[in-house]
Amino acid sequence: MNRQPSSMAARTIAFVGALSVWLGALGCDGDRGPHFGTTERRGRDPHTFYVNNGTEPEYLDPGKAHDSASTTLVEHLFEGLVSLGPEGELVPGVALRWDRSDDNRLYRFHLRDDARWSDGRPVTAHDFEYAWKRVLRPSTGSQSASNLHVLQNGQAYHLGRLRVATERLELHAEPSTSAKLVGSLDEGELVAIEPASAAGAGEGAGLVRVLSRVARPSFRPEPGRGARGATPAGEAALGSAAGEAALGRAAGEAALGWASRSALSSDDAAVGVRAVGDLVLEVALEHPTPYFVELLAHPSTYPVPRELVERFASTGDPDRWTRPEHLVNNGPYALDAWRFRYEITMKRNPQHRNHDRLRIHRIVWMEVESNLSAMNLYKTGELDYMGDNSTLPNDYMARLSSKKDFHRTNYLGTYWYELNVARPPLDDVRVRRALDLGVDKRELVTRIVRGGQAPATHFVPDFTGQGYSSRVALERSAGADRFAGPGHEFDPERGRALLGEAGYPVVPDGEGFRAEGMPALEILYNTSEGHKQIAVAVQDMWKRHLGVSVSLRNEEWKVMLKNVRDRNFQIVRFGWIADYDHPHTFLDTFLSTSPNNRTGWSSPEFDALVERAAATANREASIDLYRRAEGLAVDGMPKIPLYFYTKSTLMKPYVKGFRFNAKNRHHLAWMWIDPSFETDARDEPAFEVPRFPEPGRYEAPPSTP
Amino acid sequence: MIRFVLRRLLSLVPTLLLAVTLVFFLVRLAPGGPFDQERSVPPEVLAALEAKYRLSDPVWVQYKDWLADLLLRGSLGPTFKYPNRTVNEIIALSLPVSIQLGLWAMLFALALGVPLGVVGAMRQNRWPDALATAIALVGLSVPRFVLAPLLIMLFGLTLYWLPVARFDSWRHMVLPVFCAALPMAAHVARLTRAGMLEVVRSDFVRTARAKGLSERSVVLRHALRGGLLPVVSYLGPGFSGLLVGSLVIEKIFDIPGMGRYFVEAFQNRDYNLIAGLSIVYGVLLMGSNALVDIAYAWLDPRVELGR
Repeated sequence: MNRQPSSMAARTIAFVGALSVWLGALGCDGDRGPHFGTTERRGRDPHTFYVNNGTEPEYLDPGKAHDSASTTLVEHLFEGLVSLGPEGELVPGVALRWDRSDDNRLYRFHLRDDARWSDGRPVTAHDFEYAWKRVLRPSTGSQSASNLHVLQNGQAYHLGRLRVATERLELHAEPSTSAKLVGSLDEGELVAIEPASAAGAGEGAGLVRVLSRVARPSFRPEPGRGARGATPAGEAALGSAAGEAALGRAAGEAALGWASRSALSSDDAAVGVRAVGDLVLEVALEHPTPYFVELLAHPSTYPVPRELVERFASTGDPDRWTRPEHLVNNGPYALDAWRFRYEITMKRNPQHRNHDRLRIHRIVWMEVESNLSAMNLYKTGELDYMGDNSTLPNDYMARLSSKKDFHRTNYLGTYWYELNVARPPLDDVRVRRALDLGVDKRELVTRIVRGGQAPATHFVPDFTGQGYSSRVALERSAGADRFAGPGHEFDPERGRALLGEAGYPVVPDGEGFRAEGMPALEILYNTSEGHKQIAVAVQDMWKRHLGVSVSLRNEEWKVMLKNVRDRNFQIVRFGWIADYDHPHTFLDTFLSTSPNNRTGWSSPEFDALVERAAATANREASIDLYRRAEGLAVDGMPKIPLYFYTKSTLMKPYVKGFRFNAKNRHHLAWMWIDPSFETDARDEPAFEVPRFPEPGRYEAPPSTP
Repeated sequence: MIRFVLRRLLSLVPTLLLAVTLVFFLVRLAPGGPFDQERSVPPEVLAALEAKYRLSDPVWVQYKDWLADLLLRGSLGPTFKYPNRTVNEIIALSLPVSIQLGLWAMLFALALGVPLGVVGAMRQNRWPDALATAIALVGLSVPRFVLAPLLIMLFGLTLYWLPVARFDSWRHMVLPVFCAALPMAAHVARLTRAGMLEVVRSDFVRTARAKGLSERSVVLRHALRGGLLPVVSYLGPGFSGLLVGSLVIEKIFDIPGMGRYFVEAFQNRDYNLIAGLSIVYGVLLMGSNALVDIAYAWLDPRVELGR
């Protein structure tokens, strides 16, 4: 060849460069309007809604759904006791109203009598009792079962520790049938046994260690009710000590003795939920749980069609009943077609009471994984809404944010760095606090993350509901925000001083600083451009402001999870998305007993304060206690909060009834498509949003204090 | 000929088995498991899940069961990530899509690459050659993840001629097929050019010219058959590469093909799916190589069948 390859390559590059500049110019050209892309809905049925669901759902089984692609769909196919309104508020679902005991421990739900499964059968309280116990049954393998751990004996049953004596049993002092007797169990008596994972000693003799007696749920006795489930209240006053033991917390040496494994069978009758007739569901909780009704909007608490589920379970194919050809469901929409990894279509469920009021009759849930592709499909009008489970590409955020169909809202989640407090130098709280003070979070959100996030000085997002946000507002108006001001906001000088106190004096070094004697630190994050940018920025800030050197390590997600579980990290990037709209979901991860406490930090004072807060019926007082507990967590600083999440999305202007809420859960049942949106200012939900009446009073059984 | 084909195909079985066995054990060595996730899963639940998928057995028992399922029932087992689908179903749903895309891309690559290569060789070092080389160079050096967005911007977002993504009609296939085909077409063009340059200097072409045949007839009837041999041997790995390498295309155009699973299944530690995909890819790769051998035997009189 005569021509030089290099000059050819150079020309090619120049050509491609010119081409992309030209195309870029063209691309921007189409973006001049007030909206992003087309607002015309050509050739499309005004009752069909096109939305991106992000990816393929794992489960359409309410009891097993745990990823957001699944729960979004399940929330349209099924309906729990409680449903979500357009603002994410709790509205009546299958339940019309509820009663509550003064201590937040006992609930009674009154179900509507017109709730139907898609095969026409009525939805009853028994369906809920069955569904909840199924979720907790260990063999179900539900990964969202922990939502129902709040039920009395729920956790013990789920972890396979709850047993009932099938006959009169002797208790031995040692793991041997010839050991001396230390007591006995009556037939039908409930006990907690040692977790299977701790077994060993009694294995050979067929014995299992019995930790404690367990109380049956302390429902108010129903006149004329038979043996199933509840027993009279007088028997139930063993209180939460038994519950504690059942969880293995207070286990230790307090065991009752050893008993025959084969005569102790697993039994769900003692789990704190029971149907009283078809239309009343009673619930007894392990601890006072102020956020309990919030949990009922989560799919794991939705009913399932028992007969169908059991038919499939008996054929050894327990997950196939959710396929469109089999599915029986009770929500406003029914499954129409399911094209694996491509799209799911839903139509109205003719059996649902809102069938005639729904203004969106068909939903096409595309499963577009690339957010750029989804954005393009939105632009050309193939999608009406980016969807709850889709994000906007960060690089386009600035351009999109000036559009009228761009929406941004606070989102209930906190991005944080978790510190392994077992390893020096992070075992020293002064070092942890210094690191917190050395991150300029305002700069981080404005320069790096760039999604309108609020810098975080604490863990529970300021806009959390149930009285938390109003508490924050109250403190702010009094100029006494607990987590603002010196000691909380960016303060490198104070950070350096703290490092000095901890024995790592920070000395000037050239243009910057150097913390003398500071051991090497490392930030671990899962491989992703976004996490990397944040880690690089934090690395730079710590170097610049504190003279602390950190290295970065990125790992593939599952590898990172394994290393974190093995405590093989110093600083790791994580975040927490609220499971329910209450501060407890964030603070729970700091409890010494929480399986999600990965830092190793524990504080008996904190644990006690959270427990007290949960048991406090008065909402203001309860939130005040939570806020104080949070203060202890901030003082201990096992996690460095970086920012509170926001969520940005695109919704075509012809979609009405859309309220972008902090839960980021938007039921399409409330929305409608308005072809004359340009002249029509109406934006109300598709039909009137029902409201719950004030909860009634559930009179506690006389024996419960 | 039939005996040759059969023998060639049978010889794939042991190789395939060995490869799949290696994969089976290697993926289980990777840290982390299929049910690891951000929120902690209690050990009891993990045990229930592992028992359900027979992951609590010793690895060799798992292997024995898995192999028995495969050989006796043709079953590749359940996937861990999509509990109501089996590996067989996933492959049955996604492989045809990938093959459809791959075949069109290959045809397009040949239709574009072979003429470019022939023109390049026949007009060596003149402007048609330079142009053909330039096109090939662009095809080779512009990665698909650059090309695809450029084409989408032009034809989808600016001219509104073609859909920007999805897989519903022939119009949806134009851009992905073109993007998938271009690098392959470039390869084909270069290989054709090189092959033709070699062949046009050989004796039988000189003989054909000496007989007074037209240039057109010399090229198409005599030279091309020999000049295409390098292309043919490239088509095997090229085609299986298209299927696996379509990950980027599938992501950008949201096409429900098989390419995405190659990366994803490993990220999810979806052991059965990984093993199943390895078999499919192994069959495709070795099968298409075998086809190439057979085609060679047919195209080139010098290749002898038996040994």
